[in-house]
Amino acid sequence: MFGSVFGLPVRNRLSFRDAIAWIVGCMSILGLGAGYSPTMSYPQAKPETAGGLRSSSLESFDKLWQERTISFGQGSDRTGFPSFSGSSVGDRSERGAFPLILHATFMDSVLVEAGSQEYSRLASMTEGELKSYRESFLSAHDISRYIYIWIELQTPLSEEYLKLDRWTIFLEDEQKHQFDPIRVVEHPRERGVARRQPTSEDETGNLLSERLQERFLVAKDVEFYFPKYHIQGEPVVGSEMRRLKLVVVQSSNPNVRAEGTWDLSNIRKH
Amino acid sequence: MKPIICTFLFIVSFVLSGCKEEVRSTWAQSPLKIDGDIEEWKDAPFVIFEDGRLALSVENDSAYLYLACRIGDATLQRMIDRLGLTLWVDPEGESSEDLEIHFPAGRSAELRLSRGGFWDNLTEEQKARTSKQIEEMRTGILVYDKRGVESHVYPSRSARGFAAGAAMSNGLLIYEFRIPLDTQKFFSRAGALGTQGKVGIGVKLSGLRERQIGSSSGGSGRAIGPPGRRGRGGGGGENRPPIGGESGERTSDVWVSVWLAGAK
Repeated sequence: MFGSVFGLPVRNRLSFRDAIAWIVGCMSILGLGAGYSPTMSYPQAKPETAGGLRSSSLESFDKLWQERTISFGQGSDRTGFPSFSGSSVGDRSERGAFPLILHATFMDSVLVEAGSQEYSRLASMTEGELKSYRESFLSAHDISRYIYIWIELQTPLSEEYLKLDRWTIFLEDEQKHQFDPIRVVEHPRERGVARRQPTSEDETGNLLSERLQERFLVAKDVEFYFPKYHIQGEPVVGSEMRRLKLVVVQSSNPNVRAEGTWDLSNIRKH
Repeated sequence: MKPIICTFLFIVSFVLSGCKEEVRSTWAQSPLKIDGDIEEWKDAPFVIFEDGRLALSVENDSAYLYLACRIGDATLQRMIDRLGLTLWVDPEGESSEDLEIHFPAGRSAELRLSRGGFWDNLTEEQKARTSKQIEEMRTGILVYDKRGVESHVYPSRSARGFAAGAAMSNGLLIYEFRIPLDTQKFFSRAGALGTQGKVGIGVKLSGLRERQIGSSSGGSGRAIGPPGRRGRGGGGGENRPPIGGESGERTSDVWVSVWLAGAK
């Protein structure tokens, strides 16, 4: 039926494993099996009452992370998450057959501070350690100069699809200005690292989903650094900007394309 | 005439099935040790549910509600052992699931540590401390207030506040919980327990073994004497094999209204 897809040879008939892999991918992108997962961080709470080992609130790191994360890619024209949108585009035969699943997080200063606080509590840091940790993080990621995007790439198919040289990844603003990454740092992960946490409300389904993901998904974390300012000195993400798009295009075939959009007004609201 | 009687009986049984069992708490003379050891509960009356597969007993003092759950059914034991036990506590004495307790927190407390690059920024010593903390969270008790979208993980053996313990004893899986009556100090949107004189307690069984448990008694239960009088294994039918031929009927969550005891 297809001679090749995404530049890789494709068998005429899908094997059982391939079929399962596609189903797992679709489940993952639709958020099935994710369900309720308590979002937690440490509030400044009284130790004998609210605090505990870990706590959550609407302002928690997990909540902020979720708000700044868009998911899009394989087999998805819509997603179940409220704060992002995404789509896969291509010709009819390829539509919905994008081989990657992407979870991209906009690492702004609010999230970085919440993350620093979160990890300082997890590691029982002193005030001095936290200060040093924060400075070290800001220095390493230089978010004053760059737009820092953390992306989790996943695929139920071959690890070949995770190779970044297969893809052109860029940001696009509302005026269709496009921005290429200035720096990219890869963090390979091994097969079997499930991204999502299990739920307390959907045990059986989630366990199934989680096991399928562990069995079939390969993943990689990547840091992308985009310019924070135009050449003229204007900020790329201005105070009036409502939406920012992340576009992923196969380098050898522009028809294989997926994109996700951050709703910045939703992020700024908090 | 016959159809009318049948309809009447159906309506009566339907209404009765929705009623919660009422349980009287026993006054705890001294604070209970929360370790899953049933010994401290040997004189306490247990109420049996689900044809003996689950039994509950409640004690309280002026600061805490103590709850013991005995699970006799092997399949249910395996599922709860694997997934943890989920309780709901309703300060109004009804069946609200807003305040949820899960023990052990297990994978609910797991984190994707590598995300965002925060983990890589830790020193080796900080990584070791973090790993230890994560492990403690996995064995902790997760309490979640859905109204305030607020959750906390507490050490399971903490000296004050929420605590929980679990152990196997004579073929029974025992869960013990300590729940502070002043829950509003822990969760801003929660009310204090016992202001109405009673507290609603729910135990989540639905979804655990839909295909294993046959006849479902829902909220109905019966009071029995202390387990110590029934010899090894708990007796009283708790270890009876499943009946109803693994019919696949839905298993209801168990709800009880607990009337708190006053100081003696």
